[in-house]
Amino acid sequence: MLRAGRQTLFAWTDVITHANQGYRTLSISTEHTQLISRFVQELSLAGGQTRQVHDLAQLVSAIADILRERQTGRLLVAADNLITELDLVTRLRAKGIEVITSDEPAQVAQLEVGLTGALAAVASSGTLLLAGGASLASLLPPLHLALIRAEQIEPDLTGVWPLLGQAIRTGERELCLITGPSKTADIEQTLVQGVHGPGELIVIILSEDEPGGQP
Amino acid sequence: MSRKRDLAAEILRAVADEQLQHSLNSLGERLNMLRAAAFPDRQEYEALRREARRIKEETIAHLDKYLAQLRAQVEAQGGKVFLAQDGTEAAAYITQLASARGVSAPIVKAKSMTAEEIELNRALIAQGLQVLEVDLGERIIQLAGEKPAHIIGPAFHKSKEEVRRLFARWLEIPEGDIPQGISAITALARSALRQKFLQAEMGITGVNFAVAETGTIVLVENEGDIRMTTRLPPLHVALMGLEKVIPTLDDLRVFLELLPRSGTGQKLTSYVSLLTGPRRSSSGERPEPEREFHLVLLDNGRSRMRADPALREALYCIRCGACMNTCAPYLGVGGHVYGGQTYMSGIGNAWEAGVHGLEEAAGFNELCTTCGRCTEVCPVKIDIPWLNTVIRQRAGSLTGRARWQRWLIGRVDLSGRWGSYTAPLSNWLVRAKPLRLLLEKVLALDRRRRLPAFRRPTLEQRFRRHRPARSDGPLQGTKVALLPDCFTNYYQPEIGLAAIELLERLGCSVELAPRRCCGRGLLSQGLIEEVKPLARRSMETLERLAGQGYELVGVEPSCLAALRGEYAHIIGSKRAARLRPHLWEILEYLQHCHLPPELFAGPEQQLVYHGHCQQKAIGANRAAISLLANIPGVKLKVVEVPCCGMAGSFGYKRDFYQLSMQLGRRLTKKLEKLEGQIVLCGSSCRAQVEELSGRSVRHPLELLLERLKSKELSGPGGHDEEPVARDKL
Ligand code: SF4
Ligand code: SF4
Repeated sequence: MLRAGRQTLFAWTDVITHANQGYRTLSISTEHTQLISRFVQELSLAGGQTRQVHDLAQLVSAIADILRERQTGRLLVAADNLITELDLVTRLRAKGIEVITSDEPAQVAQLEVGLTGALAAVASSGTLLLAGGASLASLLPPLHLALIRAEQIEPDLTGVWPLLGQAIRTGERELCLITGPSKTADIEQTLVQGVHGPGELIVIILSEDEPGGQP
Repeated sequence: MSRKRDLAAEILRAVADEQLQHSLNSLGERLNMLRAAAFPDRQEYEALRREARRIKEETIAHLDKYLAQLRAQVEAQGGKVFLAQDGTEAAAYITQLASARGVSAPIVKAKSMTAEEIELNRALIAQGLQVLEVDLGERIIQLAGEKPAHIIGPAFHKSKEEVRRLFARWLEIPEGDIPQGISAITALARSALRQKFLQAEMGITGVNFAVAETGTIVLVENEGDIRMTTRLPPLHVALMGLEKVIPTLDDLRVFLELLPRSGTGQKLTSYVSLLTGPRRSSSGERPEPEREFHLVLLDNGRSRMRADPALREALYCIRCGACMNTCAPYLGVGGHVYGGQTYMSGIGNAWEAGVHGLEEAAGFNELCTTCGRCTEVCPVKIDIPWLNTVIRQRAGSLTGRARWQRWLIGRVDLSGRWGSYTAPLSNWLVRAKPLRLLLEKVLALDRRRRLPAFRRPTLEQRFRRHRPARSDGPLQGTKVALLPDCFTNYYQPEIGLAAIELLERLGCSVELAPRRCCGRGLLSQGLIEEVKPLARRSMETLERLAGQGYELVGVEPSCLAALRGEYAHIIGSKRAARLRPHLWEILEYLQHCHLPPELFAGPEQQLVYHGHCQQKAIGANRAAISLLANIPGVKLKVVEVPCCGMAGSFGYKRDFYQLSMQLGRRLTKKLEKLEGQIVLCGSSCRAQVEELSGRSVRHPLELLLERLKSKELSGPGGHDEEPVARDKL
C-alpha cells in the first residue's frame, strides 16, 4: 500500500521504486526486514521497546499517542537531520504538542519525554549511535524516544564503525552508543530500569516494509 | 601501608556470614551463566580474545609512544593532560583545579577503581571538598564506609535492609519513610542524585579505554551516571591508569565486543560514551559556558609493573570481573577477604603487588588454588594462576609459612614414595592423633581432614606384573605411554591400571612412562626454582617418548595442567609448545580418537559429572562431556559449580578447612538432587565428594572400562566378571 508522503520520507524508497529488477527490490527489502526484526529482538532483550511506522502521518500519531499515554503535552526534541528533514517539529506543533528544543539542562530538567534521532543503529546488539546534540534528550527525561530509518540499521558493530570513526574525525566530540534504558543491579543483584538515565527507551523505526511484509 | 591480617579469622567470618554467602552464590550462578550465553560462538570468542591480547601486548610494549600520541590528541582537541606519578600528585592536581575554579557544590564522582586505588575521595575530602559517589553501588559503599567488594558490582553483598538504613542516614529521613521495593529505593536515589547532578560544578570519572589516534576517552556503564557526570558539570576530570590507552578506534571495537559480554553477559552496556576533548556547544547561537576537560594519567607503580616480566601481564586487564565470577575462593569469601587494599580476587594479587606492594598481595595470595579457571574466561587471557604462583614465590615467608614447610607439603613424590613403601604402617601413623596434631602444627594440615591412604603395591609395581589385554579394537597401532602421576601412583593405582586396560582393550599398545614428578605440588607452594630440576627431568623423559611415537596420556588433570600450562614459563614456551600436541588427558584423548560411541553402548546408566577445574582450564572438559554424553545408554547430568573446594592441597589446609567445606557443600547440594553414579576426574575432587556426600565416586574411565568389558562378555551370562579389582586398603 503506497501512502502519500512516502517518497519524501525515504530516500532509498526511490532506489527500490525505480529498480528495474524485482529480485533486487526483494533482496534489499528482505535484508532490511531481517535487520529490523533482529534489532527489535535485541533491543527488547536489552529492555527497550520499538514501534514501527510506515509514513509520516503514522510517525506523528505514534509520538502523539505515546505522549498522551504519559499524560504530557510537552516534548524535548534534540537537533537532528532526520527530524529537520521531516519537518517534524512543525508537524508535532500542529498536533498541539509543545516542543522544546533547549540545550540548557536547567530548562529541560522537568520534561517527561525526549525525542532524538540517531546516527545509526546496530541490529546484533539493539544499539543506537547518538551524537552529542542528542545528549540531554536521551539522558534527562524518564522516557527516551529515538527515531531511526530502517536503512540506518547496520548488522553489527563493525557495520557502524566507519561512521563512528568518521564522526569523531570530523569533530563530533560526544558520541554515545545506547543499548536499552538505564539500568542497575546494584541492590541485591535485582535488575531495575531507570536509575540515572531514562527508565524507558522506545525506538521508532520508519520502515518501508508494511507490517507482516505485505506490499 | 599494609596491615597485619588474620586471614584465617577473616575467612571464618565470611563463611559464617549468611547474607554474604547468599549474595556470592547468586552472583556466581547468575553472571557465569550470562557470560557463557553471551559467547555462543567459540571460534568468534577465541578470535576476539587473541586479537584483544595482541593489542594489549603491542600497546604495553610501546606504551610511551601511545601515551605521547594520546596526550597530543587530547591537547589538540583543547583538553589538558597531567601525568601523575602517584596518588598524591593526582589528588593535588585535582584539588588545585577545584579550588582554582571555585568549586563549591559537591563534586559528582562516577565509579572508578583507579580512584579507589589512590583513595582519591579521602584526599579530596581532606582538602575540604565534598565528593559524592553517584553510581548506585558506589553510593551505597561510600555511605557504608567500605571498599568495593567486586570490581563491577561494588555493593552486591549488601542486603536491601542495609541499603535502606544507609539511605535513611544519607537523606536524613526516618528509615520507615524509605520504601520497601528495590525499584522504589532506586527511584529515591535517582531523584536525590538528580539534584546534585544539576548543581554540580565538577565531575570526576575513570576511563575504560583511551584511544590514542583520536584522543577519545571511552566510558562503559549501565546507569547513566557517567553520562550525567560528563555532560552536566562544566568541568570534567577523567582519571586513568596508564595501561588504559589503546592505539586505534578499530582496537576499541574489539574490546567493546569483549568487555560487557565478559562482565555481565550484555552485548553492550546501556551506555558507551566516546568523548573527544571538552564538549562544545551544539548550537552556535547560545554559546555554553566555558567547558573544560582534564585527563589525569596515573602511573602509581604501573611503570614498575611494566618493567617486571611477570607483573607486566596484569596491565592487560580490562577489569571486566569475569575472573572473579568464576573463582571458587572469591565466591567463597568475597572480595574483602580474597582481596587487598583495592583489588580483589585472582588478578587482584598482581595489582596489589604492583601498586600497593608485595606484602599487601601476600596477605591473601594463599587463597588462590591456581586452578586456572579464570584464565579460561579472561578476555585478554591473563595467566592469573602463574602470576599468583610467582607472587607466592616472591612473597616467601611473608605468607606465614617457611620454605621448608612449603617444600614438605609440595614434594608429593617423596611423601608418596615414603608412605607407600611403609604402608600400611604409614597409614596407621598418619591417622593416629599425635601425628595429626604434629602435621597440623607444623604443616597446618587440618586434622579433621581424612588423608588419602598410601597404597602398596604402587601403580609402577603393579604394572610390572601386568599382562596386556588382547584386543582387535579400533586403536590398533597406536602407542600410548600412560603418565603415572604421583597421586595415581601412590594413592589410586587402580585408576591407572583401569586406564591402561581401557586403552589396551581399545587396541593401543600401552607402556607406563617412567615416573617423573611434574612438580605440581611444589608449584602450588610457589616453589618455582625447586620445580625446575623436576621439570627438566620430566621434559627429557616426555620428549624422548614423544620422539619414539608415543602419545602421552594422563589421568590427573592437575598434573597435565602443569605440563601444558606452567611448563611454558618454566622451561620455555617454544619447547613446551612442541610437546603439547602429544599430551592428553585420557577422556580428551579418547574423544580425539573419534571412537564410535557404540563401543561403550550398554545398559541404561545415569552418570553425574562435574568438571575438574584444571580439566576446564586446559580445555579438556568439553571433550570429556561430549565423549560421555554420546554413549548409547548413558544419561549424563553435568553439574556446574566453580570448584569442589578441595583443589589439591588447598582443602587440607587448616585455615581453609571451613571454606573448602562450604564450597564442597555447594556441589554436594546439587549432587543430592541427582540419582546415579558420580564420576569425577580429579583425585582430590573424588576425595572431597566422597567425604561430603558419602556416595561412591569414580573416575569416568572406570565406567568406560566396565561398559566396554561387559559388552565384550555379553553373550549369554556375560556379566559375571568383576570390574577392575579395587583392592582393600
Ligand atoms: S587460579 Fe583459580 S583460585 Fe586462583 S584466582 Fe584463578 S580461579 Fe581463582
Ligand atoms: S583479569 Fe581478565 S577476567 Fe579478570 S578482570 Fe581482568 S580482564 Fe577481566
